[in-house]
Amino acid sequence: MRRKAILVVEDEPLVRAAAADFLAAEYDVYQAADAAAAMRTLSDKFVDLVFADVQLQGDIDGFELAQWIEINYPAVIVIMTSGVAPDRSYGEGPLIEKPYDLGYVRKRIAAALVGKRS
Amino acid sequence: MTNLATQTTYRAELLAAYEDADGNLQQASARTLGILGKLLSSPISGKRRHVIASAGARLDFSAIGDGAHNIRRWQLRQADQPVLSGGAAAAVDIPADLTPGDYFLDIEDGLTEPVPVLVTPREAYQPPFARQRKRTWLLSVQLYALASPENWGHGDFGDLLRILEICAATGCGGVGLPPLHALFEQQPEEASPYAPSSRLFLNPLYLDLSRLPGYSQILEECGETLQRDAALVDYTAVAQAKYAAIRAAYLRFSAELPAAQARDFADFRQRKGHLLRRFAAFNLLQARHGPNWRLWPRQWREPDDTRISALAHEAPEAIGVSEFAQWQCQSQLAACRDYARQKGMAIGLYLDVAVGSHPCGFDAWNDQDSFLQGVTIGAPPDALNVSGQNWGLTAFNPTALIGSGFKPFRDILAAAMEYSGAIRIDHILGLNRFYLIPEGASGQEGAYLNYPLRELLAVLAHESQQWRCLVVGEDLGTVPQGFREQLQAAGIWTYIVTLFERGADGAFRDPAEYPYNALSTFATHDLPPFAVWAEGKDLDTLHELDIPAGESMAKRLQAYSDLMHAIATHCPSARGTPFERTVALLASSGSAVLAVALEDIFGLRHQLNVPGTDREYPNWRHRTAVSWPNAKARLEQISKILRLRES
Repeated sequence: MRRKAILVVEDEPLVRAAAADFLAAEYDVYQAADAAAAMRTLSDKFVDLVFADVQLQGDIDGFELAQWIEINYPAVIVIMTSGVAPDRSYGEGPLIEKPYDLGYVRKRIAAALVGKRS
Repeated sequence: MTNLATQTTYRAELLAAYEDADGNLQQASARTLGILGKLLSSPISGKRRHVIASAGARLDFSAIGDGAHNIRRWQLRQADQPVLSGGAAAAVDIPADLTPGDYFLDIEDGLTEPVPVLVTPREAYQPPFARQRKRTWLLSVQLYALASPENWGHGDFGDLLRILEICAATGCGGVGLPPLHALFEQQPEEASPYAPSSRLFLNPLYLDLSRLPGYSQILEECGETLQRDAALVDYTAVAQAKYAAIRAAYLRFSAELPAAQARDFADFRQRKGHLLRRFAAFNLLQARHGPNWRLWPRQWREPDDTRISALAHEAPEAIGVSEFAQWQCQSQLAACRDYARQKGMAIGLYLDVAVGSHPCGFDAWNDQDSFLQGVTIGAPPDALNVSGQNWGLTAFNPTALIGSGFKPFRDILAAAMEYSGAIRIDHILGLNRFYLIPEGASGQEGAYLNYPLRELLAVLAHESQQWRCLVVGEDLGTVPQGFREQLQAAGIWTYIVTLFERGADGAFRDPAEYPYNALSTFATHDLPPFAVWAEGKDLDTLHELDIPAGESMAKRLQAYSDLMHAIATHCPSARGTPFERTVALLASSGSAVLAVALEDIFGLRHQLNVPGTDREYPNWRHRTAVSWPNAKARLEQISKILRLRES
């Protein structure tokens, strides 16, 4: 059975690397520094879940990325995170506030992936 | 009378459970059902109500929906010509002898706009030889793979014309071809004819460059680098050389503009209208922004004709080359069609229509309402494919299809029927239901969606009659009960593959028992050629690729022995090589049309496509070398064996 694949989208390299390293124990992990790179990864790789920051560098923010995923990759689960509490949410469950606890992130991802077949 | 109005007969339904190949009930995942349900419930913007009604049927005004309640007067007209009218009524009986075609229904109730009505025939077109219960045979050719002395490393319409000449001289009823749909100019290695960019346009790699204006100069400029006798099609090299030559021909043409041809080109552009311009723009945008339009800059993710006009103004040459290539394709393929007609061939061209187009292609970009975005089609898991299959192709949004009067479906059919005496609809089961997989889900996570079969068959029958084109439905595999009967009632022929026509004991069914309204063939492009099958070489290939074969070498040897036994039993007078004796067996087939593959006649030693593989096997690349005198001699030999089919 294949391992499930997570795409971490985060423009802060240290934060992104920490999340990716932590999740790599259980999942195949891809990384993207901005939404455009995330979109390219989704087009090239099979991804089960995207864990994305709302605030991203470039002209596409995390919300727009999530909307793009919903249209083009509707079976890909999106969990969002943000350092500033925005007035809206998007994706699977409530937004995860930064700084986050990686253990909590792992639980949220595992719960979201329940029932998604390999 | 039957009410065949679409608005009342079809509702999109996702099947929460389905029966798998072993008869076990499988549940679709709740997540998938939720995703697909949401997609299907999205409102489709700017669509009008359309009605499909069979001649002789009763058209109930309630089928038209809101407004058509308090009717004072109504009128059915074709363009401006009234054909029927009446006063207050709940329905209109469409006369059985009313000429099928596009009509408008004007309802005087103060609310309803004119309603487009497509009046459809009872059944699809049946060609004259079939009405006389005659039989014929076709030569099927994987044209891209043909290695002729003249072509540029990829079979072309010049080769097709030569094949037609040989066929006409040997009593063959026509030539069967793979889909000729436009593929991806910028990604020539994406070579599957069954995953096209567009089913509305043709693949310019089929152009016979020697028929383009100024060929001798083009040859000097562009023709030196090709390895024309390569064993495999080198798509990158072929595309580079051929597109350079097409561009050179276009530049020469636009500089010289010979009057008659310039008029033809202008007419073609006008006839194809904004769609051709969009297609050319799409090709240019792919060159600029990459293969996946979903990753293009925002302003190009949807076609916008104002922006496209500006683009054409900015880059007239690139747009012109694409349009010129399509014009030449149309002209060369039409010349092949016309030649077959002049020679009175029973069928002429028999073209294949792919089951879907690529999500990154032109069709999906051009008409984003009509295709389900973020969804591909495939097949659920079975014993051989435990993870299910994802074919990576788009599916129509059935609700949008109805809302547009099935126009996108009609356009795709017309694009093939314009040139052909017969078409083959790949996976015709898709008119009934598709297994949909949301992007990002595995092949196991799909769900079935029903499609408006009755209306799709009516539309298919209509286009078939319009273009005088026989329709063969590829109906292999497990089909729902009654499905083949529905096809038969609509005048759609069945598709029989001899290799699959075997009993539980392995014995080959007597081909004489095949139904008349059928096209039969020994194998398909997804199966090994005869020489490979007979020796079981394909099993070695599958083993090397680590793909479950579903058959042992011992079973294959037994199958071969069963075939020889069938020949001895059903066709004892057969002589010649094992393949020739097999052709003799097939010649006794009861089906009206028999297709014999050129690749079998020439003993191709490789399978053209191994399903389930991508780059690990050179799919769609193994070439068959022919010299024309040899081809003629071989065809004459085969035609002698097949002569008995003419009765």
